Amino acid sequence: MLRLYVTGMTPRSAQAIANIRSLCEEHLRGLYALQVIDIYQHPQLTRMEQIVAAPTLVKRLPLPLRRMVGDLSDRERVLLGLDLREARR
Amino acid sequence: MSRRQARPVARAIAKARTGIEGLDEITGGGLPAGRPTLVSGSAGCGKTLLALQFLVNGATRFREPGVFMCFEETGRELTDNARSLGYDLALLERRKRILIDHVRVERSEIDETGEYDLGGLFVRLGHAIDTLGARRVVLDTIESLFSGFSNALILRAELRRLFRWLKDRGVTTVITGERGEGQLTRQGLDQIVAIPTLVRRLPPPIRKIVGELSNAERTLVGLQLRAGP
Repeated sequence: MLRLYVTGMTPRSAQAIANIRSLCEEHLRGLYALQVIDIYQHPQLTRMEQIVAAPTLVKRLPLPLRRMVGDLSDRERVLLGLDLREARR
Repeated sequence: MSRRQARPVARAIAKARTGIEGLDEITGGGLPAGRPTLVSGSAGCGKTLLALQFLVNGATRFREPGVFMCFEETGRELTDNARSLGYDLALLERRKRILIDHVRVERSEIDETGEYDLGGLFVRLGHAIDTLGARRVVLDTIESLFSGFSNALILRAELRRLFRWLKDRGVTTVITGERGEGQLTRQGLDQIVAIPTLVRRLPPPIRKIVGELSNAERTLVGLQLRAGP
């Protein structure tokens, strides 16, 4: 269960969305739910979800909770944050 | 670096009263209205309390609702501290006079995976200001962000942008910073952006804050305060 918080459709937002989609399709096909949330449209969520940086990918489940900030271009770190490191060849 | 006193800024600048006895006099009427001011001082000197008084007085006496964004204490710690001073923050929150937002930045929870900015913080603060129609903001202590995020270059650029943005929004803002080695704040906030700076150095305001203490305790607090550079 992943939520990606972005600030509108900036190039960086688009980059982050593309990166996480391709990574999930590669490693988690059919096993994940990804929600992209524009915080300009839902500003109240920033406080509830403790969002400071943008973009931020929040992994609530499975535990532990992780926050990955940035455009998610460092695949290694994203995989690590998602506990998918073993999945990597 | 030369020691800076709270120096009165040009008279043309309107002032926002803090309601803190002594402070409004030495600053010629309060803090520059609609602008950010940095409050710098050593650890434990009462920066948070000063900021809290500024905000609560604004909300209760000057019809200026305020947002307190705390990066260190939790909301509950802040509420408890305030209660010891006789402020009921929970009530003020319910009445929408103030809003307390505790920003959690835990390095252990955060992975940096590429380019980012502090867009989330801007949206979050902007939403809080809009919700309340806030005229005052406290950022206590925003430099804590440097312990949660590793890219100091991004943070510095974003803080510069944040201070400009606050000024554009016209909210009177207190930014607290802890004195570091040879500079006013650990990360040199005052160098990141030109900002009026109030160096928290003791007597007038602190007397009121420590009013409940015995003389012996006051002396102790005084010594602690003077320990700064």
